[in-house]
Amino acid sequence: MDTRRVEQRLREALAARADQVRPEDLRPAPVPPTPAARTAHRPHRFLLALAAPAALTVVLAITVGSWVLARQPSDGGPAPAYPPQAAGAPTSAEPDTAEPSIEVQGLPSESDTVAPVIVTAAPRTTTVPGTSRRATVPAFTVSGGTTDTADRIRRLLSKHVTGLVDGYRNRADLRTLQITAAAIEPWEDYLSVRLDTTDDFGGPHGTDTTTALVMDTRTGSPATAGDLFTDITAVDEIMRTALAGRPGPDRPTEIDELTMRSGTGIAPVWYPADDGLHWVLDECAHTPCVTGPAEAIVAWPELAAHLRP
Amino acid sequence: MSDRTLPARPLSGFRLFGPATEVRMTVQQPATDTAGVAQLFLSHRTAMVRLAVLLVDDLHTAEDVVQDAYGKLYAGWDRLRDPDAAVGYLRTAVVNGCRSVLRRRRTARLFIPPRQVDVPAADTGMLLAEEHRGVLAALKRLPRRQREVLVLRFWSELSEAQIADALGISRGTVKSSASRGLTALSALLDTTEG
Repeated sequence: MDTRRVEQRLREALAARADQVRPEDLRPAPVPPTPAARTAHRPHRFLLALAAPAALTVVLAITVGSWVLARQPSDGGPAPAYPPQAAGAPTSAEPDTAEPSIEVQGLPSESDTVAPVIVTAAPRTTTVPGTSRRATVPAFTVSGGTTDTADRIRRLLSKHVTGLVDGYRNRADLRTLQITAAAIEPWEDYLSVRLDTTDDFGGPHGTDTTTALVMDTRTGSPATAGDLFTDITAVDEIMRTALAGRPGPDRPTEIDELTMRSGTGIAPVWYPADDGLHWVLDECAHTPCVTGPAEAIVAWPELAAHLRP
Repeated sequence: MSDRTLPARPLSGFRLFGPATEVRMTVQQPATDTAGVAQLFLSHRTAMVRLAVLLVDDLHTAEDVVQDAYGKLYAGWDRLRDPDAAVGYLRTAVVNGCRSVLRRRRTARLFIPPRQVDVPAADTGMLLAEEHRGVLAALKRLPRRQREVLVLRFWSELSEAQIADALGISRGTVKSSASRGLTALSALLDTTEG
């Protein structure tokens, strides 16, 4: 096709797609304030006009959220995908003959009368939805803690594993899928579960990916970086420096965008463990593939200044 | 307006391509800031969302990217010397934001392979002509840099120098990326349209 004709068609197609976005279709959005405007303590009339509907939206969201939560069961979570006695394993799962691969005792909760949380993982097999393939997945058993806490942790683990397996739904070209609990690490009031996934679609080699789930053993809820650290930005920088300084190839170009702050930048896989804070970066996911996953571990003393009391 | 020039350094929280020495900043008075901010927002928001839509093909994501870009730009607004350059900074922030989104999608796909069902985007109620859809589908198959260069060249109508500045690459790379992109696009269209 003639180059001019291609250019013309490209111009027209881009214009047509762009014209689909009309100003009236855009969500109302406030003008972000400048630092100067923020410190002036004299909101612009335009911002004030936008503040009222925004505040109303927040109030409505809280009201609806409270109503929805109130209607949910007391545990606050969705119905378990798998029986509670073995989170992560489908009902049709057949236990392997292998013994539990990992057994870790979490640290006691604040109350001395509550037994410490204990999580164990054993390999099971299950069918990947929409395929005839069997996958090896960890089945978790949770004991200790309060009933609510143990249930919540069990549900979180179940949901996470189910989500990973469900990601391969209808992938007829899947050959093998193996998810292993590579680590179950207690630290302070938190429990980290690291899951390594290896899939094989018949290529020259399989793909390894890592995910991690960090939970608060006092509440059974997922933990965020803000729960652990007072200054996430400072911790990010320490971890980025550690990751860049690891033996191996040059510093990945996008490493500066890694952050544990949710909703911004690129999120590394992170989890606290007894030996320090772990960051796992699958470089092939973020930069040209030079090596396999990179991992940085920074000992707690180096992060002490930024830890929440 | 104060003319106090600060040492050259990138805007805080705002990643710029190219050498940092090209960035010049001064302190401006708050009154000018507020008006400039509102003006920049009102006059360029739709165009920036359209640019982001062409790069990420999703209206809501595009809106988020643009809002984030404005936020980052305004965070360093008081150190911006030339307000006329703000649009350029904004465009770069939008392109960078789109790249981050695409990277996150790629990472997510490692965990959750894409659904087989091709669900149209929510903002495509007004259907595109068949030939436009074919061109856009072919464009999506190009490497990221070629796609960005072609969008900035043939929709934003930027010069090679402006594209080089926005993407942090040389003019030669812009030229070669555009050339290769058009060639690849032509070949893809020939293949799909027989």
